[in-house]
Amino acid sequence: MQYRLSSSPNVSARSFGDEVVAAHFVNGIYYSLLGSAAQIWDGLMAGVALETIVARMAPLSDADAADFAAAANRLVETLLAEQLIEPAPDAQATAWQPVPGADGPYGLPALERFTDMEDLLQLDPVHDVEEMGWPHANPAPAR
Amino acid sequence: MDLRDLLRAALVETDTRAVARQLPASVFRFGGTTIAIRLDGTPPLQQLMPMIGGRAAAAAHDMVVLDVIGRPLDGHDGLLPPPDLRRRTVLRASSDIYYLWLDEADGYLTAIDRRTRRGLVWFTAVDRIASWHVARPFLHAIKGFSLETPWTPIHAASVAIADKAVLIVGQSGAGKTSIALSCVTQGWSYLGDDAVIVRADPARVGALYSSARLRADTFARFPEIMKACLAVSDDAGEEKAEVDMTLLPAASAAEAEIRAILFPRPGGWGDLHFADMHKSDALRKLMEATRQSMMGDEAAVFAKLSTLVASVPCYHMTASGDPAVLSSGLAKLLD
Repeated sequence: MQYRLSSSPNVSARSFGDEVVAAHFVNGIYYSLLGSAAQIWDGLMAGVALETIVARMAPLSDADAADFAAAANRLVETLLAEQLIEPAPDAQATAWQPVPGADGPYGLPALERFTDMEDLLQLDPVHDVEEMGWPHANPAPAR
Repeated sequence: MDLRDLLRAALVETDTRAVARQLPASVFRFGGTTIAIRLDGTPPLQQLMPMIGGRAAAAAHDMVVLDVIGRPLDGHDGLLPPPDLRRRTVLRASSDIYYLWLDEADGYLTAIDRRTRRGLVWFTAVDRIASWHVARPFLHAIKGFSLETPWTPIHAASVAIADKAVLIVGQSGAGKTSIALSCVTQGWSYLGDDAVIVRADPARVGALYSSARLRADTFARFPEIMKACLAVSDDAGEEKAEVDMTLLPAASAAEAEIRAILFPRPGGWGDLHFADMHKSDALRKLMEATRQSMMGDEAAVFAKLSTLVASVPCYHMTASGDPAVLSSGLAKLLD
């Protein structure tokens, strides 16, 4: 299965090579992917199928191959649940190879979730005005 | 009626009135935007102008126009949020409009029509202009007009030596002002203690205001800086010294290259120490700090700031209370 960044204008992400930050601006949640998770993200954004990514990544990890595949699948499921990525069955894969870990073999991939801004937004909600304009305020902004 | 139509109608009226009354326009340059500002209201509005005096510029063919209203806008109350929302924050930021209502100063609206490149700032109770607005006037309008430029205002302090600057990022109380002013006492140029404007490629920081705001517990620490104190204000129950840095002999810089981004560790001061920081942490904290005071256009701001963070070293910092040690340590980051 192939994936791409969510097409929502409220989602952005940036890869810095060995780390990735993603953000969902409506709920204010930020995400960090380090190590093998950042590599998997870069592979997904290159349009490479998850199965291929796992096959190329597993030898770079000191984890059991089956465990690594299961963790990679969980990561993608979480990214989908958080609406950061979406399926892209027609994606054109570009050349991509994982970069070996600078500090040794990779561990299992994981997603860090930061809710500081979400908490602030809940304390002081911002009322967005919907596309049709004033005075229709969104009672609960769509994600 | 669509918000865009309401805004355009209000802008037509403010323009017609400004022309009829021959209101003078003062022109300023903030980052990539030249703004002609016209004040329409009673004298309290004049207090918004001194802290942007250093950004005065010549009129430009591509300048935008901002009308600052300190009186009733008869027939345009529909531009304000419905009464049940006026105690809240109301935002609409899209490609054609930037609209931000804040429950400050008894109601304060910034509304920018990005298509016609005109906007207004409306103080619905002009005698309630807060010290925050005097120190950082038109910040949201500058943000609203900056979308199409490479620049974006951020919540940070900055000081420079010879066109090389550090950015100091953190929430209120993180020590931005104290670190910046400690450097100023050691000969650094001042760009800002709370709000500056940045771009990513090349990495540059620009001053917005000549103001600095000191908390009461730092008054004694900066006696030379306090000589430029205009007043001590009450900022939501907290005493703040309102300083105009142009009154000091220390140099102020208009713009400089960003050589490092620093994030003071919460919890105070100690031995000066810098620790490499994950870019993802730096971008998140920079976005969070800025988002709190300058809402909207998050995707565009994220794109600009992520490019900036990618190109500049970022550090956690424990600041030294010794200005000389602090200054020399920060100066090493400029090389």
